[in-house]
Amino acid sequence: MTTARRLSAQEVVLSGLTRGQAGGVVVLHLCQRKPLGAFGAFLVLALIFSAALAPVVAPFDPLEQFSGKAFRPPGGEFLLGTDYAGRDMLSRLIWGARISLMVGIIAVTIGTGFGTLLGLVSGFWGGRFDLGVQRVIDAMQAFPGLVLNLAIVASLGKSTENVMIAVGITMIAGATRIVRSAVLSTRENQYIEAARAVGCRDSRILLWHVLPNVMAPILIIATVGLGSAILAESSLSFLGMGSQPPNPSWGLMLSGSGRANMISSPWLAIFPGLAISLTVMGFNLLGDALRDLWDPRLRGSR
Amino acid sequence: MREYIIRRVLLMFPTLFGVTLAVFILMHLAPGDVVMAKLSEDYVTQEHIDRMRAELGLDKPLYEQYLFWVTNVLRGDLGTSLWSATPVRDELARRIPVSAELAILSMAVSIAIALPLGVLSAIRQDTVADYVGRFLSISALSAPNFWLGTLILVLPAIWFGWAPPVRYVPLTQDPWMNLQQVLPAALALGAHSSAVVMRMSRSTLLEVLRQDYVRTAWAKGLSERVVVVRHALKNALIPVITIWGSQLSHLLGGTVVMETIFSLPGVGLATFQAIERRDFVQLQGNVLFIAGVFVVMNLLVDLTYSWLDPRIRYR
Repeated sequence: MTTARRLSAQEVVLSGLTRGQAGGVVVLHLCQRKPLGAFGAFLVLALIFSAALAPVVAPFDPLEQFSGKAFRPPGGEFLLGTDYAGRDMLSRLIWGARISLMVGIIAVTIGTGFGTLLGLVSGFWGGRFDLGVQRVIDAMQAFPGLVLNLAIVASLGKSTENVMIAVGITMIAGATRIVRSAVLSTRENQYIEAARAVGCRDSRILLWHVLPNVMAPILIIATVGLGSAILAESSLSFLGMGSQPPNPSWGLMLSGSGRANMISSPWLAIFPGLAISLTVMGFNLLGDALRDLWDPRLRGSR
Repeated sequence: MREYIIRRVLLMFPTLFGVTLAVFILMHLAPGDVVMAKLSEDYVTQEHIDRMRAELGLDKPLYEQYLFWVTNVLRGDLGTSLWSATPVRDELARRIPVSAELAILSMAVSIAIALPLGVLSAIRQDTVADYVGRFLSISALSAPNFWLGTLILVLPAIWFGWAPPVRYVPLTQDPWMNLQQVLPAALALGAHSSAVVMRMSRSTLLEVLRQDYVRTAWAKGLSERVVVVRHALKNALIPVITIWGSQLSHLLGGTVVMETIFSLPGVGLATFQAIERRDFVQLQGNVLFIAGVFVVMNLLVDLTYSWLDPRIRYR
């Protein structure tokens, strides 16, 4: 059965416009229909922007210690103040975006990469392999996320790289579950049967017929996953189990030793937390909007 | 129902087996084993190392070590802490009440804040109250719990010069002092669940309020309180409880963070300290315990749903 794709009002309008104008209309359309999603996209873009252009936009070196200028309040020479070592907070926050985004991207690549592979294979072939994978996933999901992260980091050692690995591994289970269930429902479609009937090999069916149809949930878990990976990195760094000083990791900037300083200089406690919150909020809002737009089945699930 | 319970309980065992395997593998991934970690400070001879390995059974093949460990675990023996040389089990037992109090209190706090806000947001949809409630919940969803914890410690100190007592006092000894310590931690820990519950209760209540039987209740001339509480809320509660139960992972992981920030001597703090001290035996025991609690609690939560909503059993 071929379903004729209905043109949306948006596409009809777009047909008469140049590409540049059309892009503008799409953005406008998104802003109107999903204002929160657009706000999320804006926050995410801001993060990517500061991560990519950190050397250009940061006013100072994030590690440079200005002697005699510790604990400067926000305003004046240092827009967001300085920390106990006289380092510029704004520059540290901007460079911190780089660490966060890098950890997020690599962890999500590991997590959704393996998750997609396992989910595709176990959902498509089923049988004993699927059963085995399911039990492994069950065992992995039997640990609260942070506890599994801590256990992995404890045995691999504390470093930013190991945090990426730990967070990535922890994400595999959830990703596998979601991809697998999407594959299970896709597998029953007639076009799969048709592909089989014309003699396609399994690998071709998986790559060309199943994978494109489970792309939406994969992209959604990747988007939301970026937010939670960044959150996990900052939690681990906060506990001293992730990025090590003097790295300008947001979680590390909030970590325990400086709490007395935070009472006398509250900006030290407020700005890094705001940076993490806005980033996580950005990915959450964007993920929610994508879920509503692309995949009504997952609506409301988290 | 009975069949469902039996099936779910039986399914728990392969998971628990996988958990022990995962914990064992994780703890043996560490570069350098327990003995090296323990002896790293002192000057030691190879002979010394070998003897200690033999004592701890580390010279045996891995599968034998695993079997040995699992048999002991089944007997309730989790080994001896490398750091304090006391049984891991005793250390755990001492710390469980602290974590349990924190977890229960934060669950209670979260529902106590979230449910009224969610209801208010739903029955006053698109008013200022609704917007404020939704803004609060989106913020609380995004704010990391360790940041909220830090703010709860820092802000009152700045504004009122108040800080929670530093030395932990058990609930049984001085409830007031104890609550001053645990309640701030529970607030910070419960904020996330609170936001999730609030969003869920708002959206399900909105859905239920549009049902025909609610219109009938209005038409009968019942007061708003009766319509909302007795007719609508009751039916909106099942998904709310479901999502409340799904917060367990966040809650158990969060105890590690909160106990570290507020220096509450619970299982979470012990886990953190075990990593710092490279006390792999204690860490292994704690992680196993937390995962075990998580599995059992998840089962209980699932059984509760199926009891509340019989449709779930036939999925």
